[in-house]
Amino acid sequence: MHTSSEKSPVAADSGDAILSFAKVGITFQTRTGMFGPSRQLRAVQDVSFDLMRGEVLGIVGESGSGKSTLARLAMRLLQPTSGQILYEGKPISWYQGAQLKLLRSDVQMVFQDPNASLNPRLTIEQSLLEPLVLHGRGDRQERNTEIRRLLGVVGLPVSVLQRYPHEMSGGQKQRVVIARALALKPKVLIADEAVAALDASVKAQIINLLLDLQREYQLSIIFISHDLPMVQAMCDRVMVLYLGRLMEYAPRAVIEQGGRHPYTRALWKSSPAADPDCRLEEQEMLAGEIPSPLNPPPGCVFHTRCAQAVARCKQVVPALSRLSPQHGAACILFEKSSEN
Amino acid sequence: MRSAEVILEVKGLTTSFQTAGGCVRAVNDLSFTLRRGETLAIVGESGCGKSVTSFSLMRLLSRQAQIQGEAWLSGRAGERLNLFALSETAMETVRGNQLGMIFQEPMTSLNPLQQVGQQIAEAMLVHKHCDRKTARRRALELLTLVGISAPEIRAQQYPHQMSGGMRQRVMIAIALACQPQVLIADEPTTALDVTIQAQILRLMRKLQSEVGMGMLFITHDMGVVAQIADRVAVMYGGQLVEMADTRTLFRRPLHPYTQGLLASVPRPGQTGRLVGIPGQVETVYGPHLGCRYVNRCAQASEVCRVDRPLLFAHPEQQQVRCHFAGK
Repeated sequence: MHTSSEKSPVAADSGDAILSFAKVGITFQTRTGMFGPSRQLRAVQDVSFDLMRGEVLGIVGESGSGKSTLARLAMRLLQPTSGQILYEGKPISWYQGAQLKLLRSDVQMVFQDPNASLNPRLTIEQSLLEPLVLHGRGDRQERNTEIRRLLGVVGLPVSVLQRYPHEMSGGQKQRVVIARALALKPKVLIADEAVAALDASVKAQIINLLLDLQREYQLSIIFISHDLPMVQAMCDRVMVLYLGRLMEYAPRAVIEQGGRHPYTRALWKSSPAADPDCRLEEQEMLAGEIPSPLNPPPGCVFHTRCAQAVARCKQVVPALSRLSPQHGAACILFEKSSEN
Repeated sequence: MRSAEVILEVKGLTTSFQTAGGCVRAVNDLSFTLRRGETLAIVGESGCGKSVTSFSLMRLLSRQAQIQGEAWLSGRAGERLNLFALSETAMETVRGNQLGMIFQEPMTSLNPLQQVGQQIAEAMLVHKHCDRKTARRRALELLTLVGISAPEIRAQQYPHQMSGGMRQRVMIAIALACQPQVLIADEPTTALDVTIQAQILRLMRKLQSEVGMGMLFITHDMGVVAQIADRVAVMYGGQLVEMADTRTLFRRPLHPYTQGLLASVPRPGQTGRLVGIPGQVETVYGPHLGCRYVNRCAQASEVCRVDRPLLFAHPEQQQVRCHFAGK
């Protein structure tokens, strides 16, 4: 199955990829203060993965891990400075004009804060109609029917059409945002911390909605979150990022068992379990904080916080080692076992 | 813990706001006790009244808010203070002194133009605990206590030079500077990454057992509750719906809302759809009939619509507000 393994190691064992990242990196030029020296911020480095048709791929990491940058790269809101992103087999930089418009409707995004995603001066009806009008879908009658159907899909009553965002709860607004993202019948939905701002019970409702939509419309979903237990529960495969680098990719079953990479394991240990008999223990906790991406540590970026780090971790950037056909980890602990 | 002295006793706390739509009771007849060395978590979703509870106790609400009830704090010298009956001047000597508070967003709580060491020392100077020199020395001790290395250097830094986790540690140092009897922590780890959250929770647990204060920990996260609390109060629609020991609550939640909240959190090994709770929190203007949770409850029957459930005491000190739970 993995004939093109050099290009994209994170691939499922069947089906074809709709979106592929091949050794993608992006570097920003930043400046400290008005006259400070220009510095390079490598937000994402050398990340490869395939999003398969109809799968839910989870991307998990702490702030500064590059997960939102990945989403923006996939949306072509940012251009990679190295590597290539393929959509339906073609580089996304190839898409221009009418083709680009198609790409835009095919790949849709849901952000964390529905208040920032909805125009406060537009009614829900106007917000939902906007993408259909912009992309010239249907006539007036068809569009009106379509947005009513969409409301039904996301479980909102038709009565919300005349409301403004401020008249609705956070969960309802997020449903509107999802309905709007679905309006153009996308193939890929990128949810960037889409449930992070919601209450627990509403969070579960939205997760269920996304899973239902995925099944019904054969959507491919990239679910970006800092919440590993949540990602584990809803995604088919999971990628763990740290400081812009891929630490581990694995099918759900492996992540559920705790993963193999020291960072994945530490993330699990830090996630508060809803069980008073499993309290966080100091020896299992990650010390220190995520270093600045402006000044990343040499060698393995995780070595400054890793309990298993050895001297060589400071010098060598570990390659992704394949532990099984669908499972890889970037850590020198695994290097020997994979090279042969 | 049961035998430790009661340090805060809240009786019938009711906080209401006059709004354009009518009178909203954000907190309705809430009573609880907190003992020395104990952590009571108040958990619930947005709009349940958990933050209004903490702001009511600190008397930080605007004048539109009407607070009824009593809140008795055992002072350092053994005096009993009713927080709601104190004059504003008297309250100023209690707030930040005997009653400490940590908020969710450390960046908005810290002064961006002042070195953090000074901000810690300020707490002690305002409440006249010591002279300037001692305050400066204590500030360094406190920075060490909250796990900040190189305190001499850090004390001279400004908040923007620190990470979110570091700022929250500074907030904890400020809150602890006057050795409060009770610490109110309102979602102190919500804005932090999980690995930093784990460090802060661990730190708060350790400090609390060392200092021996009572802690009121407000959160929406059942995982955090399980990690930090000795007892849990679950609030819904401004009311206490269940209160129990942490272990009892997680093992045997009685209220349908508590059960729903616990089911909304994915458990290890759970995959696919989550259980969740249908519907959403509704705002109720004026007095209401029946149970606040009735429209989201799978077990609701006719009596729940017309008859307001009372808090019912079960064995093991578990209290629950439901017509059917555990009966």
